[in-house]
Amino acid sequence: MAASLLEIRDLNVKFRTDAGLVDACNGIDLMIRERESLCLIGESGCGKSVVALAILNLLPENAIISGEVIFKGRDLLNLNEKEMRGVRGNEISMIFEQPGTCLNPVFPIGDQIAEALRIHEHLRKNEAKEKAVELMVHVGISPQRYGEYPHQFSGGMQQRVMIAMALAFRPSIIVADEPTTSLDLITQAQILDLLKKVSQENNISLFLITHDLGVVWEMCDSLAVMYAGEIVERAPIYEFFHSPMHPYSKALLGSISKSGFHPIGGSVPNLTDLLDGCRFHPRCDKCSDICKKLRPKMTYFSTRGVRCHHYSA
Amino acid sequence: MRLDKGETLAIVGESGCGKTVVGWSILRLIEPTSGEILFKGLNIMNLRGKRYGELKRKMQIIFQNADSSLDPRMSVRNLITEPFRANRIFFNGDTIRELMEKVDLNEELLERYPHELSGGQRQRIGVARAIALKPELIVADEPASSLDFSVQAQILYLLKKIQRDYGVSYLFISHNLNIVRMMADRIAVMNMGKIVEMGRTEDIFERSAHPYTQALLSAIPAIGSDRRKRIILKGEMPSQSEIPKGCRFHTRCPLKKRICETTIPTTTEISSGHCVSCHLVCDTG
Repeated sequence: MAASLLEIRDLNVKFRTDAGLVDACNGIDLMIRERESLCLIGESGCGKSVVALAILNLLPENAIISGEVIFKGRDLLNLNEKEMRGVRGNEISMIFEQPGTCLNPVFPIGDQIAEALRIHEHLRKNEAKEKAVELMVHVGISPQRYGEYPHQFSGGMQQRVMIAMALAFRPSIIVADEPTTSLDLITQAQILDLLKKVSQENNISLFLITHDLGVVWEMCDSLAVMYAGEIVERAPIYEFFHSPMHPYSKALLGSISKSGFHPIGGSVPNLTDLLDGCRFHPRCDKCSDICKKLRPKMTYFSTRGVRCHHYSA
Repeated sequence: MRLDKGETLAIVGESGCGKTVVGWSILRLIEPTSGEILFKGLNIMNLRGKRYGELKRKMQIIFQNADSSLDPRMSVRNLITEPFRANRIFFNGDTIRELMEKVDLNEELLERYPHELSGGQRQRIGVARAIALKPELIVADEPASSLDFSVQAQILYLLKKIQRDYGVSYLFISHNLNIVRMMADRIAVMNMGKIVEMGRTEDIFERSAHPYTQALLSAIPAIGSDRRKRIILKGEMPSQSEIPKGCRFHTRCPLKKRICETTIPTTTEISSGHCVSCHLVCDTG
């Protein structure tokens, strides 16, 4: 088994807001190995993007962060802004959901890719251009489009540009936050295929955030399920789909299955005012007395873990 | 295409293929350039005035984006009673209560405004507005695609329940084939403004004949499928203003032949109710 590359230990993120303290992430433990692709899945508002932003230290000022994010022996949470800038892009790249909003509308695509190269690698103008063209070809954009502007690109092509930029410095990890959610099915298949290809060819680990279980199946080696700011289950992909353990995981897999719709009743809890006990208990069909009183701990089995009283000894 | 009473016909295709245009044309939110739309035997293209108004009540739409289709300055009570007021139809507290109950919304929400509601609740308001006048046809334009999966399942379940209770027909527009499979009785697959294949749901999923349909189906990230067996289409959809000659799909088709570049394929019925327009199918069948 490959060595661990990025380890998140007991990450807690709270936001100070007018409505009170929002408990966005609670005791997150995750590990990504070299060349592994890990997926974080959960509903909107469950805190999955917060985890991604915390890794890169991109959370807003009102966030209170504690815990450790160990990357190649360093705790990223202790780095200053200058050191962090050396990690972002160079070591850990990020791809966002809305590629259109990440590109500057008034500069040509090619120049935007080249700009990153000039700043990070101090390449000269023509060297940077050469490298940018190379990257464009690598992600399937015709070099003739070097001088075109973002609005001339479709969503799928914009996402290819983002992937080209993410690859520019041969990072060890790409964090992709819902990279295909804004794309349609055919384009999604193209982009997922590309992401998989480039990460395998360049030995890059993938940390994929999504709410689509189908995408998880296609892309990942293992996954973590997040609910209301907590990881409720971690498992290798085949084991998860074969035998989900946590009631929430089971409900997710069952909610849209071939036999019809089985929606999960109720709704996601309010993160400013959490109930005692297990955070899933009001929606859980196996809820018992202990679930209402005591917050369950992660129970580990050989390859997987689950946060549920029904599995603890 | 044809939609029967109490039936769900789904239109699937990529963004920009024209599925929404079809839905909007039926309600004449877009005035079609030519052609006929018959609703209960009457050509709605020729109707004007009062008769058209009466007919129009029987046809409603649920929009994709519940956030932008609800007036932010109207309360829930105003929003769900607007269809009655707009059509000068009597309503009272019981009507409102019944409607809220139908879409599983708590009456406490009546005095709230859209920004105070969750995405799922907003879409339920959209559904309530659509069913208020007891229509016979509802055009559901990506009714769940802006929602989270667990909420998505709740909304789709609600739509199914309403169909069971009222016998309403749905024209269900979506690009999510996993959802379409569960919602639709029949499916029409659209590519670049044309229907390339149409048939019963099981025809499309199990015996699809058009290469575009096959590519769409293989693009579904289905759990349990073989990860390697996928048709990845090369290139982008051509622009609608420069439609390719011959078959409109030929620029991306993995099975293209010479004839596809020059001749527009005709539509062939390969089995009862299952129609395809593709040269490859016509050759063999």
